[in-house]
Amino acid sequence: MGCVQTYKRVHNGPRMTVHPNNRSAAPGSVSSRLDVHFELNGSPVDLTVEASDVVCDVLRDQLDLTGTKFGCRIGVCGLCTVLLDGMPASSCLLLAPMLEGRRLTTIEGLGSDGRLDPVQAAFAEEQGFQCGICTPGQILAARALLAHEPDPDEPRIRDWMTGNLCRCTGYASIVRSIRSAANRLAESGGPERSA
Amino acid sequence: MSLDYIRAGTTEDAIAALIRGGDDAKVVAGGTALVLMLQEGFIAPRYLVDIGRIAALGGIRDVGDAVIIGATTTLWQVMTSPLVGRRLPVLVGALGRVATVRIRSVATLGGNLAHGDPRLDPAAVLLALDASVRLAGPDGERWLGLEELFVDELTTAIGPAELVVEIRIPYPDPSSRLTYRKLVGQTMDDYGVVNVAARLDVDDGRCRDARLVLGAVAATPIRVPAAEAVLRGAGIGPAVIAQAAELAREAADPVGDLRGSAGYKCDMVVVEVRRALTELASGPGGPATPAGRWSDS
Amino acid sequence: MTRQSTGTTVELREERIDALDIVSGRTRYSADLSRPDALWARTLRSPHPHARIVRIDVERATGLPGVVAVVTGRDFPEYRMGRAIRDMPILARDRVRFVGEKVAAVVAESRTIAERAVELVEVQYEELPAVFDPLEAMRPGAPLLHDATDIRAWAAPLQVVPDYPNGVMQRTWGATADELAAALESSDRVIEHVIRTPRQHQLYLEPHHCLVEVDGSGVAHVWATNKAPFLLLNYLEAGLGLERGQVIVHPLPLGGDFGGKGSFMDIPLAILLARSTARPVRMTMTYREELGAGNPRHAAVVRVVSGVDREGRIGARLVHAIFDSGAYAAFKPSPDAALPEIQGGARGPYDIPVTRVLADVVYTNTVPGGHMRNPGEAQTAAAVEIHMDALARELHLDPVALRRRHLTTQARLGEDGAASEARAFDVLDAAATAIGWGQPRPPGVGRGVAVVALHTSPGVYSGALTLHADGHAVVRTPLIENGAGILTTLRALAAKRLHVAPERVEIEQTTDGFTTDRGLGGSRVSRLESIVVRRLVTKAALRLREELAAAAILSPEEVGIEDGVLILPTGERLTLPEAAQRLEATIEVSDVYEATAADSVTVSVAQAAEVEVDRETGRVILRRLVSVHDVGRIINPIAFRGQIEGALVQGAGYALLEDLPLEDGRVATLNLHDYRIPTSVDIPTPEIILLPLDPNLGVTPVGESTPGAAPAIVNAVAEVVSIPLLEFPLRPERVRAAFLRAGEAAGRSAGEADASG
Repeated sequence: MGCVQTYKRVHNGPRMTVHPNNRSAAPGSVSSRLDVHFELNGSPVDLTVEASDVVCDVLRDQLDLTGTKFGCRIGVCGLCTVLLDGMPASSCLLLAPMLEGRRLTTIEGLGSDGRLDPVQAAFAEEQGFQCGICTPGQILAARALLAHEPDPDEPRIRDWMTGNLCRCTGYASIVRSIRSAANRLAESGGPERSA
Repeated sequence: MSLDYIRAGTTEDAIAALIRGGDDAKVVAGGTALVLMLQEGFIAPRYLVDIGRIAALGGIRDVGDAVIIGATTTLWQVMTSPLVGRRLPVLVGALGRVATVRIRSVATLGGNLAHGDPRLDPAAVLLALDASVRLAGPDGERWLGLEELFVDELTTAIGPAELVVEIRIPYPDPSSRLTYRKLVGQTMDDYGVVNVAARLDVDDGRCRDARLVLGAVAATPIRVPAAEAVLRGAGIGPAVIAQAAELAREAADPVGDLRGSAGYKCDMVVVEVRRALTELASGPGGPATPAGRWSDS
Repeated sequence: MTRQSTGTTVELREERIDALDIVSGRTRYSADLSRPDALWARTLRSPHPHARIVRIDVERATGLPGVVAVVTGRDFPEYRMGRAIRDMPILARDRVRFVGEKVAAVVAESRTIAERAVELVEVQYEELPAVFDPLEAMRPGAPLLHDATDIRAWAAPLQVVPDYPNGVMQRTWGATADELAAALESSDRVIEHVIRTPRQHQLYLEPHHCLVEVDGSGVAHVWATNKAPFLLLNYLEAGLGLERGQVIVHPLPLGGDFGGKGSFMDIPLAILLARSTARPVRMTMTYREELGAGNPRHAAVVRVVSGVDREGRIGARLVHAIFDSGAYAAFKPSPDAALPEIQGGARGPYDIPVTRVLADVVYTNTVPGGHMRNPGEAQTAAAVEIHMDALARELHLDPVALRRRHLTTQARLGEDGAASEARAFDVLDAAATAIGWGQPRPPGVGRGVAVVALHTSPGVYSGALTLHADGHAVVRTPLIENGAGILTTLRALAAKRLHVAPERVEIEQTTDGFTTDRGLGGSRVSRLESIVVRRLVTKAALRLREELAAAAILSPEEVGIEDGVLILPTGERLTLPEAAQRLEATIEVSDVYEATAADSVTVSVAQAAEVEVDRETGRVILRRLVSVHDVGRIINPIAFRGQIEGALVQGAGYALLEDLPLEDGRVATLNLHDYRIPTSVDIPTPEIILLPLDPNLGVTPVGESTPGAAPAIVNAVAEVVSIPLLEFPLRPERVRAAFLRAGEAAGRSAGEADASG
């Protein structure tokens, strides 16, 4: 191959032992490792984390739950939305140790027995997505809304969903999906459709 | 340099940890502001003291003439408290204007005040409501009015080993009219260009007492005593409102940024103060239900 | 609400192929992939808009435990990357030309280490004079970004490099300068406006990411946020001096595109780093990098001149657009180094006897521009439609009436050469009626319209079709899914042509077995894929006819083919999958189709907006947004509607919010607190109106069918302010300043009236 390079300044320092998923303590900013116990998608989890780890990275890198996406990393975009004790939270702004004793739900935790949650089913059928990168966050935020208010009107839906940005749909199909989910929940109340 | 995470079980634990950590220790409750500053590299503490699990710091209780809200109560818990909804609808409305659902569900009322960001909605409205905070520290406890609390941008009078225990909000007089306005220049979840919290206590069309607070246009949320003085004792009409609005402009000291130049923000202080006072003059005031966020535009 | 003007609602449903994966969070995007031993790379970027690199000291960074390599531009031969114009170094060597240009890279065992190490790289710069405005950059004596001989040496095949400083390209269309001058000379009035359009970011929510792994035979495997695998291969091969086969691009779904995912970004660097470290390498762009150093929509300054006669007819028009290229032209894929559809946007749907279009692209010390939805057209169409309103007001004419007077009546060529009536009038009238044009306006409320002509662009497309003996069909495609639903559309096209249910058609994404494909973009893909599918089915039918005839001892001519169905002499009709089943044969056909201008189609669209403007604060509330479309065939109605709804909201962001403003050459909005896009409460549900479908047109463009949204909104605000608004986005302070100017103007004219009276 014509372009293999020899780097003059390559440093082949001692290889560190790394976690298979690339988690390693950052030298110079080593944070103490500590254990955290919480409920994740209905199951208890014991994990060792760095104090400075954010939940978004722990989910994706340590637990391989990549349904939680990352975006802006400053709590604005909503891609990393999770449910913390049932309420939407930005997992990029949550330190992993804060999970102690809490109940965390990610997109992987919705639905049951291989069946979609009604909100997921509504997003699939109404096509409340295009590229899909914001969809897990949208669905979780909508799930929390419908848990608190089963029959929200469009202004209320738009208000609640303000923090979950979508660049593809212009939100119209997301609003339609949430209305449809509300109707589904009113009719049935249980999970439906095989995932 | 390492980062140690201490989960405090009691207020005393937390204070002890803060004393040990000194300047290198930071309190974390909801973390929404703190994690942002960590991520952006604005702060690099060696100790984080998590007070989220201290039972004594939570809860909302009625003490007759006031509500006392534990420091780690989330904004969402405050907003959805029936007691707060009944007695302090203006606070519910203001909290509904805070960023997004995700922030409101995690951020705490105590953390919001301790952060000392002049743009945050709760600070301005709580100042108008004469709220005070109880602090606990190595030398015991003390109460501090919000005016004494806010010192400068991101700077409060909370000592290095002190923490906010609870917030006391006196119930407004039945004759009080209250409003909170937030002018956003870009999107609804943005910081305000100017935030205005106003209170008029009105008897027979005359203003007995007044509070006027501006947010986002100075290093801290500020009262405008000169405007309050003009309003006090006056019949509230367009002339006195205009005068108060001009006095508010003089009190404002905004920094120009992407949300507007300093000059624009000063002009908006006049507009928003006039609108707030006009609204209070014309009716019982204190609209500010969560839907206000949607409908005020 | 989607409705045809006949009143029928389009409500057909076809669930997306990937719906279940997406709603379950199972879809894996580039950043969701890793390798156990992957390294993370980060780059150090220039803090200066223009500077000479004096010295780079990597010692401290190299010494940090966990750092595997630290490299600078001096560690490579002088690779230059580019889509059509290879003018961009992978890492700067001697000079940096914009804030955010890559200067050094660190490869480390973790992202955190890489982040820390990059801060330890010390660079000494010597600052050079910089220029941030394209008009200033063109003037004699302006700081030069590149050597003039280099610019000519790098030039793309059709790129005409102008003589003025920092010129990337100049191009004209239509009338000559003399013809225009003569026509303006004979006009009664010449009215011109200069419109400035902002630098908008695509803001796909998924930041750029790439993972590169070099296998045992030295082949680099790329999993990246890129929308056109074969174009990417071309860029990488040309830029790095590689041969076909040395890089394999694996198709992945994109978390948003909008034109922004067509560039190479960190991929060439990651390939070099993966090779030298012999480990997989991941790179992800932070939002700070995305906003400061992505490939945003070009900012432009557009001068529109109209020569008008006494009756208010425009006899001559000049549209001169100057595009700010930024510091490099590397993200522009056009062989003339221009942006596509500059001319289309400038001409619009109007017949103006003498029209001259002139475009310049100019280097400045700012972030290099790239493609975003309606590149070239977004700027020129906005300028022309803002000018049309301003012109109408100056002539005391109704803006809709002025437009109607000049709309084209020329017939378009339909899919099979059939003439199809122009419907520019219909879309404009429908939009005006829907928005309540001419109806009384409540105080503070304004309405605006814009009408635009759209063209599809050509390209080369590849595909393959396999009909299996068990009766199921597989379509193989190198197309990427960017959210527009192209895979679902492809399935629908194939299912329809094969006369089977969509579930019987499987879509397989791969670059394997293909050599070329233009990929997503230009609102052409559905149209051209429909042709590819038709050709694949025809080829398959011919093959199956041969085999069926052979098996039945018939001559092929005895088997009829009708609309992709085989007809046996017995009269029995077999769909192609049935024929394959009958023969117990698996057949595969493939096709490469190069579209020509004849495959293009022109349609008209109109957008209308109603706004409420707060005179005191300058705040604009978008109350209604109407979009009217001239449409041929719709393959996937939900996807079709979704494209319009999403594009309208991006147009609203362009008009009201979005810009990458510069402070001393630095992008000032480097995070999502500061760069705002519309949220769910900031916009209304759009109202979409489709004219009665005109199937003669075939599949018509939709992805870029709302360039009129931004000018319609600007025009609506201008109606309230009562003076032309020639610069957007219309943030509150700008609108309030316009109100103040309008008030002063009114005061002045009142004063003049007083003085004269």
